[in-house]
Amino acid sequence: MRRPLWQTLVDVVGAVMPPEDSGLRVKDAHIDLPLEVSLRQTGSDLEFFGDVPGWRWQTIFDEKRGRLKLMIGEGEAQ
Amino acid sequence: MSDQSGLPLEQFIQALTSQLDRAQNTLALKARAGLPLTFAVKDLTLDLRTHIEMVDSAVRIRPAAPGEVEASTIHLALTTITRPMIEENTMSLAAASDEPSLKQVLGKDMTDEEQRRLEWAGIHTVSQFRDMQKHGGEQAIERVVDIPVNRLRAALARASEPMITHVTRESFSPDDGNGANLLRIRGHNLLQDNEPNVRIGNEQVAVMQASPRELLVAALPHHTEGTLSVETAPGVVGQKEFRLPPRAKAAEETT
Repeated sequence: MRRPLWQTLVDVVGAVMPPEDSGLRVKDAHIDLPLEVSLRQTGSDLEFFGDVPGWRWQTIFDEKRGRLKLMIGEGEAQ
Repeated sequence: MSDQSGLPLEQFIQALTSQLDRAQNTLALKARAGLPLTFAVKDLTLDLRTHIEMVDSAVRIRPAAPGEVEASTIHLALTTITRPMIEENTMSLAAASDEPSLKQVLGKDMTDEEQRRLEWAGIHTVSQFRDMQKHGGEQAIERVVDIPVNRLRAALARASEPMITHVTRESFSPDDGNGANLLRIRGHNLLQDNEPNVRIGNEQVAVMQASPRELLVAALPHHTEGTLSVETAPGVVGQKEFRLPPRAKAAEETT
């Protein structure tokens, strides 16, 4: 089951944050991932689902993958 | 995507940007929850394998299905913008937010497809429509949106008709049985080149003040309900049925 894209983004951002006691500081990160997308209409709302592939190898039965390139940096969201 | 006929591109973009807003809000919440340092998404780029189709004048998008090798790649690059940048880019629409939309005014006079083509040319409101005609000319609009000049002219005439939205009694209006009953009329296009002719039923009433958005008229005491007509030019009339609340509730608004 694919996650909504926002959940994927929050998880990806969370994944690059170092543990508090590690002494590391990540100032920015550029991430490039394969992405599988789908759209689901619920009532008048259209939800965008986007997640990393659930399986490493792609078969001819899978939808074509896209790519997600993300640049994240320190600071509060606008 | 479940819909094989695809979705309008603008719906697709809206769905995508709402996901980004939600992600940014969640990250901002984490920051407020006391984390010493947090991240924000600065830029996001998506390469999607899709099919792009034109249905009438709408661009529709459908993700490529399994086995479809001839799909296009759509490259979307999104970045964060600040509130001042948003305000700078939405000022003209915000200024026109209280005027009726083209759909409200033109209604059945233009098809959804024709209205979409006008929006495509950047014409969302009546004032934009009027300005475009004044500065760009009817022929230019005709070429761009593919709507005949005579239909554009008729649509603009329809869009310029007076529209009455509210009729209220002035709270300081006298109630001595003989005095005037001051009514404030709000709407659009209520004044053109000359003072409008205002009638309640078959009786003409005096216009005390007039502007395109508001009229102040001196109605007679028995004018508490009926058909209000505002004629801004010969044959250009807007009408509205109204009923005023009893005197004790004079400040209340009727619609």
